Amino acid sequence: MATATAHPSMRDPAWTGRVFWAAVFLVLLAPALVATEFKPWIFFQADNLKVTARFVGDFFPPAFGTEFLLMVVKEAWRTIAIASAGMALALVLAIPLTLASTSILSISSLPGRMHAIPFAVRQLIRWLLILLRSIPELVWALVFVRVVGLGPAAGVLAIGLTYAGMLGKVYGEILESGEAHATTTLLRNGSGRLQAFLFGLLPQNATELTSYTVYRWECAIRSSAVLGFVGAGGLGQQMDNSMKMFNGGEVATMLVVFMLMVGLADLLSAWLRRVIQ
Amino acid sequence: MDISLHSVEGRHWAALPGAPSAISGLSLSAVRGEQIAVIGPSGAGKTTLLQMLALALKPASGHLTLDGENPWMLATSRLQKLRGQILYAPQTPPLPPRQRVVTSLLAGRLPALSLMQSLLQLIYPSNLDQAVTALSAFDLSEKLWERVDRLSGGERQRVGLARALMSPAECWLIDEPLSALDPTRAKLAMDTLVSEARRRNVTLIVTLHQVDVATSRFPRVIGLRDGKCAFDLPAAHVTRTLLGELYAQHEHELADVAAPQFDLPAEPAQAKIVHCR
Repeated sequence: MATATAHPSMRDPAWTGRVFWAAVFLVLLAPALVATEFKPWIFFQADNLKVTARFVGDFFPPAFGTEFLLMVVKEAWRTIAIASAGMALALVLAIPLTLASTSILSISSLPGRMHAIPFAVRQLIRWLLILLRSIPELVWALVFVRVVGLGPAAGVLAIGLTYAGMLGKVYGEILESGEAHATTTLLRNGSGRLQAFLFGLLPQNATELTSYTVYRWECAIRSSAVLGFVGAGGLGQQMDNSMKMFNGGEVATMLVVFMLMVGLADLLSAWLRRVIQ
Repeated sequence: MDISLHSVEGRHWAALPGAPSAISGLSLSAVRGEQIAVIGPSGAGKTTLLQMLALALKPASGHLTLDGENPWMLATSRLQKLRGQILYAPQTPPLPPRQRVVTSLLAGRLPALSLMQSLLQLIYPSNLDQAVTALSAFDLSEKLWERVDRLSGGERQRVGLARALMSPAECWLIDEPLSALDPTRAKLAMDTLVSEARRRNVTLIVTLHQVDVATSRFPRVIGLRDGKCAFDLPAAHVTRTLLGELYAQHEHELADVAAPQFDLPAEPAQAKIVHCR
């Protein structure tokens, strides 16, 4: 097809741009490294190596007393309960907010631009979601520990509020980035918003929504560990206690339990995806 | 449903200001139970016309009335109810891949169901008789419990058409129903649509690439070219000269469809025809 005269240049025309943006990235990264005092080599100075070795050495041998293990199992179960209850609360908040803010489910925007009022409502919900997730769960937990007292309830509330913000945002993005043809056609044929969601949007995006939800549940398990440090119950609180007592063996056992729980969440996610696939 | 268009202009709401309208100065009317085929070369505005009739696109100017009423004066909720009386079947079947055929079909009934009823349909599908009847009309009854992504392209298209039979609509607007079907299936599909529409006294408007199907199955044929009505005639009056003018500079489309799709004798002759599309 190509004629001899129209021989293309052998130089990749995108090369200059690629080099330019790589340079820009490095120039922007440098001040960030300075600001965060990023100096990995200090790990390898003799003094610091000694400290690290002592800290890690404390982990051995991990604690395996029967009584202690029973306590760990009980608290691990409580941690899962905090994460699950927190996720349930987050879902109760996030699902209606997502449904209300997804523009694919807008009837007024079917023939053109969205009307002003629905647009304003969707914008308000978006801001509400930003508000919910921009306050770290640790801060929520500190607030709720004061309101409802030390214990799991504070953790549940903290996870519920922050995660509602995250779930609402990402659910919205999953729904909007998926194929909208089925949903739009249902709306064009006179279905209601929720009907179009149930018969079009949800089956279209079910696996992505499920895997993100299970991933968030896994994050909630980890998060509840951190919340435990401020008195919101669960395995995290016990870990905090053991750390304060310099009992590295107990900390090590609990870390192993955390790894098992995260692995479990991973298996669950893979299994659920396979079932839905 | 009675339809009337008076010198309407149709353009996508996001089209650039300078871009030509997909439909301009088009007038036509159809009475309840009428059956019309719309033909014309690619880009003639066939889909835009259907979308305007389906109330998915608001005319940029001109008048559109359905049963003597201007739908765009209605409040959003009444407009959405009216959309439930019109079935618009896009060319690509709007079926979520992971949905089962039975659910996709029941989705056609959504405008007639309350939210509660449609939820119950998801929990346990009822009204299966209707779904099976609709499927067997397109020779697909064995696929009732199959998932959509396990179907071939032609099967999907027929499920999309079977959905029309499920819908409570009084007007069927069907975009290129035969594009993915082999000749035998295309004949069956067309027969089913035409006879079902007649039995229910539904207004049927179909865009077609197959000129021979349009003139042999439909009493009235509208030729569209460059967004304008080239002719609007009883099928018997559509001459080869008219068709030649309609498809001028697009002869390959006409030649392609002029292949003797519908005048086939039964099985044996079929083997000889090499029909690549």
